[in-house]
Amino acid sequence: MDLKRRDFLKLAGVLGAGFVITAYSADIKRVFAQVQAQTVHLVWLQLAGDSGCSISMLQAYNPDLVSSVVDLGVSVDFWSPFMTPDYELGNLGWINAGYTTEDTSQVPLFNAAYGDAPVDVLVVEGSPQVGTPPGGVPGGYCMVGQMNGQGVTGYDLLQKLAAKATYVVSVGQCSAFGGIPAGKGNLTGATSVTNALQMAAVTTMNTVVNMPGCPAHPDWTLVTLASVLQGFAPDLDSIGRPTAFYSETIHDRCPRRGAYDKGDFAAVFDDPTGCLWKLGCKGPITYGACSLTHWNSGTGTCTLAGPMCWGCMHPSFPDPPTSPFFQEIELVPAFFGINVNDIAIGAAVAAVGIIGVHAVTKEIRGRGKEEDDTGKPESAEKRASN
Amino acid sequence: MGVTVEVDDTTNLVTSAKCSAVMFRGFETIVLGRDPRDCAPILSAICGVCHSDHHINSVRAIENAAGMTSYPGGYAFEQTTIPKNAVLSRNIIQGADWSYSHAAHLLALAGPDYELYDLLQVLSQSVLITSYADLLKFAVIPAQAYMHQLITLWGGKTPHQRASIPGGNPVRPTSDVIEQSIFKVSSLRTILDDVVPVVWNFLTADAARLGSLGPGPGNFISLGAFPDPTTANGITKMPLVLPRGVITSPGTTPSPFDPAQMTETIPYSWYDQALSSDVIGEVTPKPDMSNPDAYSWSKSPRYQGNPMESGPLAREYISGIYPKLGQIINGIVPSVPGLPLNPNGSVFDRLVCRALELVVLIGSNNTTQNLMVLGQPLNLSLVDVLNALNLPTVGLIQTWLNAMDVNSPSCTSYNNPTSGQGIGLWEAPRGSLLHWISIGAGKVDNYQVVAPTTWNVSPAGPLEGALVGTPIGTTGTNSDLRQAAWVVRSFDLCLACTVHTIDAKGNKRYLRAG
Repeated sequence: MDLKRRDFLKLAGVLGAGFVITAYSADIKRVFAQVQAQTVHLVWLQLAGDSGCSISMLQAYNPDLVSSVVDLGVSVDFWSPFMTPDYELGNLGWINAGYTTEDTSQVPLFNAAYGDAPVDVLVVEGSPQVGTPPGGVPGGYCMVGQMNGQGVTGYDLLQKLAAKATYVVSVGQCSAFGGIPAGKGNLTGATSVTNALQMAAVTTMNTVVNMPGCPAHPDWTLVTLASVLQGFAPDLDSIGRPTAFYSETIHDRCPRRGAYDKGDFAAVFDDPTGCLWKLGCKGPITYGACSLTHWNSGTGTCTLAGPMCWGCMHPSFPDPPTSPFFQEIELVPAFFGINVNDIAIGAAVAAVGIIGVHAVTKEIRGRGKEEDDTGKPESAEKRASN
Repeated sequence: MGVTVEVDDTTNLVTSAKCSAVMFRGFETIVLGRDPRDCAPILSAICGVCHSDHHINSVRAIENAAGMTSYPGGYAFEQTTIPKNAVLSRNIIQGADWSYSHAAHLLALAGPDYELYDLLQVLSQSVLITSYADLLKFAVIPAQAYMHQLITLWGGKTPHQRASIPGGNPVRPTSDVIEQSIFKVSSLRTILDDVVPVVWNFLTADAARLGSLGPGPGNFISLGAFPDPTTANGITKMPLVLPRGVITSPGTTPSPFDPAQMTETIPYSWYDQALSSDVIGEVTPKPDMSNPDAYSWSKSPRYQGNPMESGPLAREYISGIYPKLGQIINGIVPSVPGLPLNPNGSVFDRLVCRALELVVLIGSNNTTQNLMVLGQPLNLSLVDVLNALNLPTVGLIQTWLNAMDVNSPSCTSYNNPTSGQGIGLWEAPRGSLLHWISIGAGKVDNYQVVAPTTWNVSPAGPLEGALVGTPIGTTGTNSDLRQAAWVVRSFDLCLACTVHTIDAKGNKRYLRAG
């Protein structure tokens, strides 16, 4: 079955991400093969991050990264951690770093940004840092190599590449929403790709696709990349997240959800089954398909192992309301006269009450509470069209 | 991360080198003013490659500040009130983290430097591996994935398991989780049993050349790893499986570690030069790029004022495991004087210790394949080597799994101290890690991290010294820098270890690492 323009990301929204990843893995792999044939160009730019998202991609299960990236072959023009040394290219069958010896403008990353090499999909991992260090240049907290003897800032590279790329995909919390480098107290002006591009008045051809999470989930990311590499726009919500993977909260399908419904709340961190809400779990305010797909080939997820969901996909992570992490979230307003303690006490008669609480939480979410808390501007409402 | 080397035009040897860390994120200011328990999930993101180390060590620093843990015997032992199960599960997470990192470095990152150790030729006879891509698909990716899955069983997800919390680890061991974990370990063991003897034989055949390449300062540091709660003293006095210690001049015996001897100097770093070089109590870094001598965001950690090499070689050397292996080999092949082959360390010693540490953690079932040294048979298999070293053939990780108290608690209660200071000592795959926290009014009022890679790549540090004297080719192509790249990569730098030449022309060469 060929992939149609009605991309599988739409199906994912209906059938569940885990199902689609399994059922369509052959198609997804074929996309990467088609990409190779069409020589679609992908550049993976690392800014202020920790390479954790790159490492996360190695945990992709189906399609596994090697099949995908080997199929991509030389179409990945630059991906620093996974390129072999340039003198070893030969027939190793891996990404060709492609450096030539004399002219730095031929370095693929710089050629893509400043030269004439095409860029179809730009993946950004890590936060752009827009601040100016004392005694330094704007963006000087992150230098990405040298060109013709001059240092090149990551922020400048981002602007040039993003203006050129058909799709920009922010993989991971740092590039999607600023993440930990942009946490309160940071000195570097780290921010999201969307914000950084707005500040530089750079417009992109399509809405920046955000794949939040610390790290980004590899399976969701590869499915989304397969879609944009085909030139298909995934359905995005108002802050750029593919709806296929970010339309439900972690809490909605939490493995401990049954305990919540019974009012069985964990009081200690090594409680193997109780709901983690009262310990500080951020699952109820954090959108992501973790509870559906789990992590590392379905091995586990944070709310299964404990101690809780940390909210690592929430736009405000690591700042409030995701932190203080060990503080119970106050999703249920006091004026409703009900709180989680009451539910715990009234577990035996709680069936009706719980439905009521859910109605409340859903309404609060519906008002866009999550986004309003961020202090970070929403991206344009522009929905990528088919 | 960039490396610039200066080359003498007549001898074609490196005369000086500068390692530049070119990204600053400033974690130490991001955690200020927060709840102490919030540090670990934030500091985890210092590194996404050694992703569990910063998390666990931050928790350890906080437990020390809260009086739950201490370091009796002058830092030689550890005492804790967290349950034995939590000590073991942190060891397991840590062991899995090292194992994935070592396997990925040895095979995928350093492997291409050595034509993959002729693995393709050897393995293609028994396994369907005929290309680098095959090796990645069938050995490297599964190897690292098994270890990530193992961490996920105990930590929820990986990279960035954030399960460890002050007071313990939340996953109570069940026989199901333990069985699944043992399966992950034995799956990696199967791969390593095919791969490690081939890598060993390749490296030891080339020992003379690799042993003279990239000598370090000859000073080594290990902050110790894997407290053992299974001795008669239980959690009240845990020895370290890989002990803490320092070697302060080449070829000497290890001496005890003392944190008061540590400093972080900044003469070549982009910080306000008025800052103190103390680690404990140091003020938060102030970036300042106007320092004309500076070329890196990395500070320079020092012990008694000297640069120290850190990593698997330092750990296995200080623990005595590596020298003991040297004695065993010397008894069979007298032309091998002992290990480390080079008392200052070398490319050979670093790579072999990485492989050795992997086998120590994962164990081996290989009783048949004869290991070689310098082309001569040792008449030892991997299992024989582990037996001779008095190490468990199932590997350390499986012994920790077997030592768990099934269905018993893995957390104890913890209360934030209103004030106090704590230190966390730990080892990441690629070096020594120190976290120090100061708490005032229940909030973080100071936090310092000495990150693993900075020991090796700091300005005027071991890597810069190791590059001096490295031969550089004269063809005008990137392959001129091949041996320099081997030296750089042997240290297994953080931020992935790819070293790429960006400008190989002229006598100033620039390598990009990660």
